[in-house]
Amino acid sequence: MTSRADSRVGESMKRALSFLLALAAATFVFALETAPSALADFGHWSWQGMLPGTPSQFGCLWYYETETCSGWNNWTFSDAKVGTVVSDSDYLAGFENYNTIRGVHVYSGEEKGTTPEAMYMNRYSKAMTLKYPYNYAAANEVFSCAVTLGACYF
Amino acid sequence: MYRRRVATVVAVTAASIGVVIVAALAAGRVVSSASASPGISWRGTPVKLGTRMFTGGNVRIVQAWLLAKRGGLAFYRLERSDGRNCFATGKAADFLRRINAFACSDRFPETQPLLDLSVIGADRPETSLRVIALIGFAADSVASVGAVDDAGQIVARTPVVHNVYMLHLGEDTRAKRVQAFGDSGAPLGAPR
Repeated sequence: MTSRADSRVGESMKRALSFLLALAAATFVFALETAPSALADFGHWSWQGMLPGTPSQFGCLWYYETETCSGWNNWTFSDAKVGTVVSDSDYLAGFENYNTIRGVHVYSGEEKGTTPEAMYMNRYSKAMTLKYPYNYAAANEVFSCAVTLGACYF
Repeated sequence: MYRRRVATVVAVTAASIGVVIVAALAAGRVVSSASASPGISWRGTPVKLGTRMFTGGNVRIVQAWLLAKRGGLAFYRLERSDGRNCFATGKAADFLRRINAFACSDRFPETQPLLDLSVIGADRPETSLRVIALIGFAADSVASVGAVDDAGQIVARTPVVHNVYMLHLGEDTRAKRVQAFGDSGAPLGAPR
């Protein structure tokens, strides 16, 4: 009688232990899955608006009148897309420092992302979006974003 | 008589099986070719990418294909969970794990010949922006991609192979715009 009761208790404990282990494993996997998006806010810059003529929030180093720029950081990724498409438009999205500016063209209906590495630059830079060529008359809304880790999303 | 009947039955059965196999193979080919983008006939090799870059929110990469490796870069076609077809590049030496640039377009390759990821920039004291490297993806109609100067003269040109192009021009180039060329050598669309 006692041994049967003991074995029942043992079974219950095993079940409880299995449940706890499974719960711990699930929590660990969930933490791994969500960590990068949570960390993405560590070093994050985003901007939405029209170019040219928008005052730059943090100060650009190259084309003050037609750029928008982030502050200085060790950016790993910059992303830009054209929002409300009024006409054919052309932007340059990328990075800049005092000596160098690099980017990729972003046209109407496109979303493009790049890294300092792809631009042959150091990470420590300003993320920028530039109306290009800078005498374009048409203006379209552009969404820009840069992160030090993780993904940009609008 | 009996033998002839048996032979006929065997022949008809074998023929039927053959027809079924051929039909199945044909169907399989149709299904697999449907996975390629229209206008991008090169399908490449399926790969598993270990990156979640640029797939914020609920968007993720469903499938990736390695189209080519050129100039130390790997070129990928991506299918995202939101149904959007995108393209990306990464360092070829990174064993297909990381992406360092990507592009998604509603117009490519149907109405736009290039999905360009060329590096544009300048280094002081020069402040005029130039094409430093030609990098990108091209529709089947594009035979080569060039860099042109302000006067429209071709400064450099590289062939499109497996729907991709890559040519490093360096910082001292006078190339200003990117231009697609067809089989005949004629420009396709305006320079960008």
